[in-house]
Amino acid sequence: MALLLDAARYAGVNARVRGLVSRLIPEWLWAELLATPDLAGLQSLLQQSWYRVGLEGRPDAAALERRLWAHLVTVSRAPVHLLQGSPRALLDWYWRRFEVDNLKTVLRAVHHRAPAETLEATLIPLGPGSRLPWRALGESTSVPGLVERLRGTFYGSVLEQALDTYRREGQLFVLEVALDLAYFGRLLRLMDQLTGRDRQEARRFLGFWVESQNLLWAYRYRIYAGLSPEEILNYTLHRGLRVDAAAVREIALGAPLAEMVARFWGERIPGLAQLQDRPEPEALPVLELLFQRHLHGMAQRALSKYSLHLGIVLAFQVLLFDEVQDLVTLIEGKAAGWPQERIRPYFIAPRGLGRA
Amino acid sequence: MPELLNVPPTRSALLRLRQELEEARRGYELLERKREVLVRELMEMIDDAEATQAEARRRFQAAYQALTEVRMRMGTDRLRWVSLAPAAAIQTQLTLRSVMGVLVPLVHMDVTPLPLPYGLGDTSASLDEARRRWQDVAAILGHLAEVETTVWRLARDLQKTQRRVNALEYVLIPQYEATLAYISSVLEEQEREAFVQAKQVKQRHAKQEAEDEGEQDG
Repeated sequence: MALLLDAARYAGVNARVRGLVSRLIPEWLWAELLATPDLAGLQSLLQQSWYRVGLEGRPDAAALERRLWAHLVTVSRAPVHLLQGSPRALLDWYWRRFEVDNLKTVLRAVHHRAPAETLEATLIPLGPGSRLPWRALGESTSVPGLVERLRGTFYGSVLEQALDTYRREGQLFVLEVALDLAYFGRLLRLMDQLTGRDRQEARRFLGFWVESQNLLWAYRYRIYAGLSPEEILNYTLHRGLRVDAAAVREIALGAPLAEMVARFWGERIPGLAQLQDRPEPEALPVLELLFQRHLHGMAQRALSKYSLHLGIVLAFQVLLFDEVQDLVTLIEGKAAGWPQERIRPYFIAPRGLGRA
Repeated sequence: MPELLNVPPTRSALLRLRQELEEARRGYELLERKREVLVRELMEMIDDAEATQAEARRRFQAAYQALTEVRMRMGTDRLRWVSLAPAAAIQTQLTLRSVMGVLVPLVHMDVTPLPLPYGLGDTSASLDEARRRWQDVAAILGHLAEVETTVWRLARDLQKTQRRVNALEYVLIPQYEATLAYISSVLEEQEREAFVQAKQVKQRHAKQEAEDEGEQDG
């Protein structure tokens, strides 16, 4: 009976998502994008894709990227309206990571007293999905003033709790970490409210995403920021299937990266051997990419089956994000004058292997 | 044959030039010693400068590579906003030391990494790596500035000293020696002439006296 209900609920979603998947950039276009020598060529080729709207004018890396992020935000919002109940609440919150990103940008701009018009030009337009007063937030003259304007929202209460530390230390770090922890904490709680196959799929995609982030944070705090074990425990998530408080404590106390990753994911993440010969600081960006590739592989596998559950929506979200991320990689690589062979290793997915 | 100095060939000029030649020789010895010290110091610095330059080049390459990587991961806008916060506090102390009168800098640069200014949720590990790489660059800049400026100043002063040594050795001292020799020869000639003249006068005088005595006797 439950299976029948799931099938009925997800049949329309499945059709809609597959329609969106079919609009992702095809391999032949990736091959052409890779082969094009400059940004102008890249912008012109993107006119043949679903990113064409707003891609006019003089080619500029930052402007092109803004257009891509805006597209990502709009398209990834679309499936939210196709869902109901807990899955909808989860997907809506997952989408709000863009809202959190924008909020951090506003915090940075206000903290460093950047002009409001510069900020406005770089914020990702979130459309009707976000009800935050972005213009008013950007016009705040101080971070406490900005937090005051957020009063009554989820973010306002989160930031208020960290405001005293911000006033004492004068560093945005504590506010940004508070936002991250609150965002991911709520995401985990919303995952817990799901049932059956939806919960399983959410744990598979978002659970892996959260856990891999948490592990990376713990190592980044230890290796790059030199934080104490107590601080690392304070600034990470404590619950997870694998990377829980005990694991974070082990990491904070010096557990080697390759050993911990192998313990949690073993052979399931391809390419882990690359971590062995690298010093830990250099291994972390590589691991970050390997995690994204693993998630991408899971998403592709999920879409290769006829699935009637939340997994198909989440898989699409992953593929869409990775496409935009890889396009940003390509744009920056081209802007730096790198040849395609040098850019390819930074892609999440193998791109442009089809015929040009 | 070196050009002679434009001085009258007199005894006082001879005495003055001898004194000046003596001073020129002492100056030459001092400059020669300075040149040797500068060469030794420069040779010692050049190895350090080359090694530091190579290391700085390596660090810059790694830092620029890391910067491009983080742009590829995070995009231009996000990187721009995150980069508004400084990655390290840099304190520079500049003192001077003297190498044979050449003032060269001693640069002491303290690079203290600042606490993370950003949250990790929307940033990449490659940003931390780029931050670390640029801190590495900053850490070597003080020493690079010190050795490059020192080598440049020592080399410039060595060139100047070498020119002075050459001028003394090949122009001034030979000129003085030639002028002194010329004046000496002129003075000797004058002495000889005076001696001959005196002798002739004396002879003439003696002859005159002898004639005068003969007349009186006669």
